[in-house]
Amino acid sequence: MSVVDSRAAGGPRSAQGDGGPVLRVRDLRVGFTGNGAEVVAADGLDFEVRPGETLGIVGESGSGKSATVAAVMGLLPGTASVRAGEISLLGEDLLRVSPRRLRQLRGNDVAMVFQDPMTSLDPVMTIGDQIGEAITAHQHDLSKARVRERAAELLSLVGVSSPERRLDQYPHEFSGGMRQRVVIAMAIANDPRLLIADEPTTALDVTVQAQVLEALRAARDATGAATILITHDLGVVAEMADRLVVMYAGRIVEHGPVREVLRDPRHPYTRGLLDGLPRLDRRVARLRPIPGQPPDLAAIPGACAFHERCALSQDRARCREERPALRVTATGRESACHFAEEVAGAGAEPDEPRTAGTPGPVVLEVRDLVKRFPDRRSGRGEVSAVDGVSFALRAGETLGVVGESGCGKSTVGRAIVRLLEPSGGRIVFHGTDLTAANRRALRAAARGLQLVFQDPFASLNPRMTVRQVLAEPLRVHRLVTGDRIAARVTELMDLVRLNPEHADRYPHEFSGGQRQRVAVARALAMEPSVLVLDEPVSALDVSIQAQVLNMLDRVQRELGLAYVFISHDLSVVRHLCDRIAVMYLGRIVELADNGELYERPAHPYTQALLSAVPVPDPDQARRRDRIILRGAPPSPADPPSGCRFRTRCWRAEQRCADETPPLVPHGTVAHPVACHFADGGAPAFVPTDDVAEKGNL
Amino acid sequence: MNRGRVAWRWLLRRLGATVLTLLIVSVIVFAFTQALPGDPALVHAGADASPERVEQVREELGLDRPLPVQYLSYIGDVVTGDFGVSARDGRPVLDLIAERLPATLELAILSLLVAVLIAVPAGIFAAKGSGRLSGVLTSALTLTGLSVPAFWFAIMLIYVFAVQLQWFNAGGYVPLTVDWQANLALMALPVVATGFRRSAEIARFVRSAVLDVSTADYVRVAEAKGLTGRRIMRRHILPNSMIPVVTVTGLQMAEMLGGLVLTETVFGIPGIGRLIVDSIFARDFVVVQGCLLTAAVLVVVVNTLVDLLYTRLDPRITLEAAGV
Repeated sequence: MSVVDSRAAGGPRSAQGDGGPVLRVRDLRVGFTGNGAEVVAADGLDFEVRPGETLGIVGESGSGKSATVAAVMGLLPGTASVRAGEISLLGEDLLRVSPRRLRQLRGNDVAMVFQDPMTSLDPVMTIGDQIGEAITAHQHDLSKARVRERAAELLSLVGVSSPERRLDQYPHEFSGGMRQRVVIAMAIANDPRLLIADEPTTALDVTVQAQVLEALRAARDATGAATILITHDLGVVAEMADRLVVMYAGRIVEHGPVREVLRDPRHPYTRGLLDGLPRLDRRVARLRPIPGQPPDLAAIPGACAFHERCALSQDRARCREERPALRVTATGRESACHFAEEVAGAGAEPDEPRTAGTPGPVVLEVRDLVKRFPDRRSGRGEVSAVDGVSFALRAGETLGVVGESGCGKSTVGRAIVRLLEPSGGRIVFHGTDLTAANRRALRAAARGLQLVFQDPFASLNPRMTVRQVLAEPLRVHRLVTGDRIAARVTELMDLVRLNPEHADRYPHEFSGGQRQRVAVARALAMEPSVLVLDEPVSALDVSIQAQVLNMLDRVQRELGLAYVFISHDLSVVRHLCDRIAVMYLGRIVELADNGELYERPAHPYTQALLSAVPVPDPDQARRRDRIILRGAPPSPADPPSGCRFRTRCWRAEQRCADETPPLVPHGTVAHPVACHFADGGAPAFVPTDDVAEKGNL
Repeated sequence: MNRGRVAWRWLLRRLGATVLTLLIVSVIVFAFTQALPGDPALVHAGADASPERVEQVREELGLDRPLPVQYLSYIGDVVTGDFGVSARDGRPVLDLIAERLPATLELAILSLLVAVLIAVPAGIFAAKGSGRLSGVLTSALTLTGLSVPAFWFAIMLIYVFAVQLQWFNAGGYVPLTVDWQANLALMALPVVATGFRRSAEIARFVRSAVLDVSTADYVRVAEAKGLTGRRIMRRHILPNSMIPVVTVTGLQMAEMLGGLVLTETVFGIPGIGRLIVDSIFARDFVVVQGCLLTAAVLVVVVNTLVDLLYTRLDPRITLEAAGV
């Protein structure tokens, strides 16, 4: 191939600067045009990434973190563009190169891993072809056999077993975690100098997240690339990043080594994020959320964008009038706050321990609940989504139901409120067996059991005002009538801390957190005694999540409600729940009080789950011994015999396949655990290569 | 389960469904022809036959029996391959259909080919130019294609290419097997007339499918790989856009099998469409019934082919899950 050909085809690699930054961003401004108004997605950004290091960028939705990396990749949507600034990759100004040169750089010098692995792969092209195409886009002189060989190499590097065989499969034959590995394999196909990962594990379960972070680390080490990791999860950056950039409303508010920023933040926003975060490693009485909402990006004040929510500002004139620049503070840190020196250090306010309420009488009892669905994929047989779940719920208590996707936790919730007809078992509510009750008794009882869904966007009728949403159940059930309705609507809105003056607004006029408050108020309108909350804060940003969690906590104490809190987030469950049921593949594997479960987990699956959750403390994150489970849960259409976890368990023996372990206390373990080996206290973790591995970070 | 058995099971279920479909169609067709005005016995006997003669013919044809009996005997004949004889010239209906079908099939297949060849590039062009003048113009053109009556377009084609330029003959038909060159020369104008008209609807589906797929995450991933726009279109966007396009093309095929009457009439092609119309006017219901049943069979065959094509286009679609 001639020189000219190679330029036209793959293009030369950019010259490596001597130890200089791989990427340098200067004064970057990215704007969107929406409805004629200019929306600033990123403003005045300065940062750089050096070879081999990982820069974490954290921020909530709308902070501009994704727009920033889209600008670096040259992949901004049509309505957005870089309005000012400079992006230089290995000395080359990306904003001034030709589209063709940009194409030569993309996938070759700079590559990207996207958020959602379920949609990042072309469904009608084999995995091998998709990886191959990433290779041949820049390396044209490779033979077909060599491309295939290289694709298999890449797959095995990111931890996909039997890669040769898997090359000929299609994306739908891969699980989410496996797909994300494929996306990572494509990104490192040409040994990029810069690897950008945009929320690479947000869509994944926690044990799978641990696997994918492992793959990302392997990819980084194999290529020596500089890495930018974008995430909203402070735990993930604590584990992965060297340096951290915190963004708020399109601006960088804090920057520094990850350990220092997380241990001793120098910006009130970072401090607020950490205080509002439920954590796995400790339990506080109340989260301290950042008040208010993020600002409207179309009307960001010329002053500090955070001052209206800031605990430190106290309405000082300087915060309202002058935009703080990112500056080096007296302690040598970088913060965009006029009063950075005043930000309180960690533990400035001691946390009072959380007090458990006194549990009342049993209000809800679930006995041997079974739910089977017809197997739609094969058209034959059944999927057993829930297989013999039992628990009791007392007034005033919160029972957490945790597990990964497909474990059946949502099905349990839906069966309790009778959105789904159970295939077997009993649901006894205030002494009435709902599975045997007639229609009338069921209707009367159903009012006392209410469900709040995960997605507050989808669960509210967009054509009804909040007043109509709240008044409807009141009228239908004749709970209050006539003039009393308006008063009750006001009362409900007060209860969830919504401004009653906004009763005539439509759902789209509220933010996500406010909409979730409307959903809770609607459930409360029925005067229930049990609220089933199905992932109620999963769609919300960290600062808003804390507000809603505190609201739920307060409402429970005020009304004496019992909650069934369904969640995949072990940190949130740790904060809110009194007792926790851990589910795996349709069964409860462990059921224990909060402190007991988090401090002395007895089931291997619980141990693996807890060890996989990233903690926003770099020292802890790197010191912990980790259990990284292999593979993904088996299909509920064809569950393993005996203990369902045995196929991924490092303790499994023949007995586990033959006998189903009962959910009972074992010896020194006082709470119910479904494991044959639970009696000797917490089983020691013994790594074996083929089942699980222990990663020491 | 192995693939072969899955395929057989699927085919069997499909066959069962086909039989059911045809039974329903036959009942509708039979009831419909009964409801039409006109007396087949009179047609058979001739216009100036005596009333006694007409009654005799009616008896001979079995038309005096109760309707359910007539239907059952009709179905019995059809199953054994006897579609009856034409009232007009006494020839077996099956022969008439076999004689006319090739012209219609050829016309339909070639028209669709032309339609797809026009529609895919036009749809892509319209999608790429979405929000710009080129896109608006392409959309306007396809809308014109949809709204101009097919026969008018056919007449215009004849006027320009046959009458004025004299490149083609204005009409007529030579079977493909007799002289394929003459056949294609005669088919050119009707195929273009029908194909152009049909391309409009397909193009609109191509446009919306391409627009839809263009926003998919995997297209962004492809861009991030550094692939050229052309390659992304060819390898990612188009293959993923094909399902709706194949669906609408299949429907068009089904529609055309019974709906080529106008084209066949304007260009003088002896096809099924004209056979149906002529037979209706002549009260030759036996022929009409035969033609409609044939069309139904063809529609079912086309649908089955479309379903099989889905499994080729999208690996997520399998015969196992496809149902019937």
